[in-house]
Order: sequence, then C-alpha cells, then structure tokens
Amino acid sequence: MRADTPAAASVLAWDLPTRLAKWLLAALVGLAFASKYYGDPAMVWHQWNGLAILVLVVFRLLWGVVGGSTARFAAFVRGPSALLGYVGGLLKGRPAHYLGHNPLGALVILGLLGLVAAQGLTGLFTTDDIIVYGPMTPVASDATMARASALHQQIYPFLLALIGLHVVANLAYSLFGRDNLVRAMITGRKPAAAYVDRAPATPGSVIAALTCLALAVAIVFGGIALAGGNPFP
Amino acid sequence: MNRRLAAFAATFAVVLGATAVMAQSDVIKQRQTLLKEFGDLTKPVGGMLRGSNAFDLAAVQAALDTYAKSAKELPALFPAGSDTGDTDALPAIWQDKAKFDGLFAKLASDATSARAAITDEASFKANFPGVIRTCGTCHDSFRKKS
Repeated sequence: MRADTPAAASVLAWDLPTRLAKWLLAALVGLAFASKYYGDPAMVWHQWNGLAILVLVVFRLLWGVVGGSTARFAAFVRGPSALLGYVGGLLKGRPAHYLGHNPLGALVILGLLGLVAAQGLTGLFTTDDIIVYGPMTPVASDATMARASALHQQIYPFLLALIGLHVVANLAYSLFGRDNLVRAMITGRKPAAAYVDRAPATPGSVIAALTCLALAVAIVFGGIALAGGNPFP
Repeated sequence: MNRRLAAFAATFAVVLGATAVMAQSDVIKQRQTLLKEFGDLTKPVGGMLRGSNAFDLAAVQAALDTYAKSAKELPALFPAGSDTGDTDALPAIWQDKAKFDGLFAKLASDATSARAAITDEASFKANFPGVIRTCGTCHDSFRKKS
C-alpha cells in the first residue's frame, strides 16, 4: 500500500485483533516445531508453546462469534451452493471477489484451526514415556496417553500439508489474483472495490478482544486445573 | 502308525507348541517389566530435570544403576520370533538386531559413566539428558507408535 493512498481508496478487511491472532498463531506454530527439535530435553518450552497455541485458538473461536465482521464464522463459513459457485468461478479463472475469506479459503481456515486445536489437545495428554509428560498426563490412563501420543505424531504431517496449501494458495492469489492477500492480512486493508460480502468490514471492539483473551486464558489454564492436570509445565 | 503312539505324538506336539508360546509371552512380559521399570524410575528424575521435583542424588543413581544392569539383560529378551503377541516391538528390531543391541550397549556404558560423573545437581543436569537420549532414539526406530 502506498503511504499516500487516500483513505477512501482502501477499505478495512481485517481488524487488528484478527490480524494479531493470525500472525501470533503462525509464529507460535513455527516455534512449536523449533521447540520440538531444538528445545530442552523435557520439552518444557514446547509445552508452554502448546498452551499458548491453545489460548490463541480458544481466543479465535470466541472472536469468531463476537469479533470483527470478517472474523465471524457465521459470516465467512458458507453453504455448499456458495462453495460450488465459487469453485466454478475459480476454475473458469474468474473467482468471485470476497473482502473476507472466500468460501474455499473458509474451509482451509476451519481445517487449520481444527488441526491446530487437535494438535494442542492431544499434546496435553502426550508423553514420550521417558521424561516428557504433558499437562494432563497426571490424570490420564496409560491407554489414553498412548493414543494421544500417537495422534500427536500422526496429525503433524496433515497439519504441515495444510499449512503448505494455505501458504501456496495465498501467495498464488497475491501474485496472480486481484488483491494482495498477504499485505491485506498485515495492513488490514484492501482496495475499495465491488465485493460479494459486505465492505468495509466492521471491526470488533478492543474491550471485547481483551475480554476474549482473558476468557481464553481462563478456559485453557482453568480447564486443565479443574480436570486435575498441571497447567504449569 | 499305532494309534496310541499317534495320540502321544499329538499330545507331545501340542505341549511343545504351548510351551513355546508360553516362553515367548514370558519373554515379552519380562522385557516389558524391565522397560516399565526404566519408565517408572525415570519419571521422577525427569521432574528433577524440569525443576518440578527436588534433586535427589540417590534416586538418580538408582535409575542409572538400573539402566546399566537391565540394558545388559534386555538384548537377550528379544529373541527371534518374539515379535508377535502383546508387544509394541517392531519387526525392525530383528531386521537390524546389531543396531538394536548396540543401543542397549550404549545405554549401559553411558549410564555407567554418568553414574561416576554425576555428583551434584549441576553435573546431573549436564550429564543425565545425554543418557536418556538413547531411549528416544530406540523408541523412534524400534517401538510401535500404538
């Protein structure tokens, strides 16, 4: 975006809490890989990392209900007919123009959130049977831990693949499509144009964002403590 | 063939077969007991490494002594053919038994040198993680991920 772009030429697409949550989650998922392979042997860092990811995912779920208009699941998750229409347009090289997530991208967002959540949740019950014991292992049975530990490893390649798809698709849209999606997710703004969904986006309130964050922290750490686990690795 | 001899032979075969199966499940149980003991002794020591348990030199030494002792017994508890039944042992063990046995030998010798090197909390934190790294190496290649 040029610095001298007049405000009227661009519209809000993503409010600040949505963007912060998105990039923080991306950074934390990256750090989770790093802390798995290069962290301390007891994976204390990796466990804190996982707890932070769970907090962000819970925040994003709450924000998907009370947050900015383009962050709300009810607004961006669309039915099969909208999806088929979009895919048809995409195959003809004329995809419908969305301010927020397009119907196909919405599925990837749900998949990413679901897989990251599953990875975080199974991680709580994961042990290497040596010295790594996740926050919920004190109250989990051997069978549960074995199952969760296996899933934690099995989900990983699917998560990597979906992240790869997500990155490639966004770069492709940004390079060959009508707008630079990556820049929009950084600046929050897109050029004013005719969009299928309502533009500009309505931002969520900062107070609501802080409340969601506090709630998310309470749900993750309080939930683990209430279930008898140890929320502080 | 004489009918009585046939019956005797059949009985003998069944008993022999059952003994083999029992011996096999025995060997699986024996190695599982030793490996479970590794896990039970290591768990509190892991807590010391993380700082959630107070450092206890005697517990660390007990774990290291058990590693050194059982690691010498364990290779013999994975005889050929003991890959079936209630076991998480992968066939890879018998495809590369030398490497598998070598990991136990490494664990035993690492545990013995760490036993001598660890005298306080600082030397514990410096030396212990290297010993148990072999556990993970072995699990990654030779143990079913359930």
